[in-house]
Amino acid sequence: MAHTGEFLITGDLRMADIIHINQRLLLVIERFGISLGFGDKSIAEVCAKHQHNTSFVLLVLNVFNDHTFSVNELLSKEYIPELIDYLKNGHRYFLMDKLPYINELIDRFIEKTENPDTRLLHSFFQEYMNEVIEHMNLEERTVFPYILALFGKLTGQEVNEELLRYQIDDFIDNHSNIEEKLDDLKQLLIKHFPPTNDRFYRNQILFELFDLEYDLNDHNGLEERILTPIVRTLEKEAKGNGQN
Amino acid sequence: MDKTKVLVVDHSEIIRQGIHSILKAQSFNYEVCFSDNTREISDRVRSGKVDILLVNPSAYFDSKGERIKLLRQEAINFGFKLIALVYAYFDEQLLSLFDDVISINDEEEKIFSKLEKIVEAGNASSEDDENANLSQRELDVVKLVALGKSNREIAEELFISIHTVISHRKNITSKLGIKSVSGLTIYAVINKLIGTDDFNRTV
Repeated sequence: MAHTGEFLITGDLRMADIIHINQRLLLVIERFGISLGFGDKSIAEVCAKHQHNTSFVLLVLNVFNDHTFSVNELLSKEYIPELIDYLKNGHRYFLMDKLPYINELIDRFIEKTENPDTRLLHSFFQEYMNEVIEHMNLEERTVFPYILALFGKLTGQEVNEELLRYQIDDFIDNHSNIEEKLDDLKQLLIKHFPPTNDRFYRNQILFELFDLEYDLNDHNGLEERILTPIVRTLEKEAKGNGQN
Repeated sequence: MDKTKVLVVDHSEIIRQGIHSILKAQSFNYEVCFSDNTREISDRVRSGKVDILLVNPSAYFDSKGERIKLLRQEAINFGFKLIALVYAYFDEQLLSLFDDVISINDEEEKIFSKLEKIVEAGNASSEDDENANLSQRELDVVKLVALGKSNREIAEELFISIHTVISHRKNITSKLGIKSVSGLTIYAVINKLIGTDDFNRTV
């Protein structure tokens, strides 16, 4: 499932082909609002149709496809608005689709299996979801508006100066709590719950949890490898070189 | 019921004979033997002829406690209990590798109650030996964590230092792979360390 391609994705490749090679890229194009059914169009053509900046789309596709892909030369502050949109779409996917789906699987598992202890998983997952929601809401309420204000100021827009009092290092938070619970849930299902008469849903939950973990890592990777470095440059430009 | 086979590892003949006579005098349930020879100990342990290994940590001592750790691993692999027999000071962290600790100053009754507790725990978990991974002390800690107690409260309740509580918690996490308090709480419920009602109260 975890697939890291060793090929470079360029604008002339056909969109359909890269998905055949690495199916995880489905998640990326979904977050760009690109629907399937693009026939034989190239990546560049699909981007043009959706009015996306092709080089930005390629950057994200390559980072997802190859975790060793070097981004340093390719970062541009022009990407900020699209990047924020992209990350917000990611949040929407986690909060509206993925987590509720896993929640449903857990409820089915509890229903199917006859072990009353499994009911504890329901509250555990609720707790986990609340942590994810809180974390992502915090980003949307404070981090993203700050970054957009910073970007706006540099591009000559009227911005709320109040927002500029932050700096990105205030937000370099740990995603560790969230990872911790996700990991615990896997351990409990794999090792600690005694055998259950339902095996199907137990496995499905695990498949989804591994997938979620992989996807969250990619999402966080995007924040750490692309968003944060760009914002650091913006901060230098906006607030002068002497101070941070 | 089969007799519980106790293998005593200690250099001192006086101690060995002392243990022997205490166990014989009080009950017919124990079969006691001695050894000083690591290979012989290892052979007996591996052939399943030992239920409890009562061992003076100094017989296995090295600066990092690596040999005790190996012994711990053997205890898990071959399903016997490991009890420390101490008459000198040992680091609490080292002692945490044992299922229990018997001090040379313990009263007869106390020694028996510890042995019985270990034997019972062994019987209870023989169906699924998930718990065999955790020492009795660690199970106590899991239980209190699951009940929502802080490290300080746990330390007070078990008469150990906060530092020891923390090191128990580290060991628990590395053995179970569970880090969060709610995860440990579920573990505690599954393993009947606490009831479901307790869970609802803490979460």
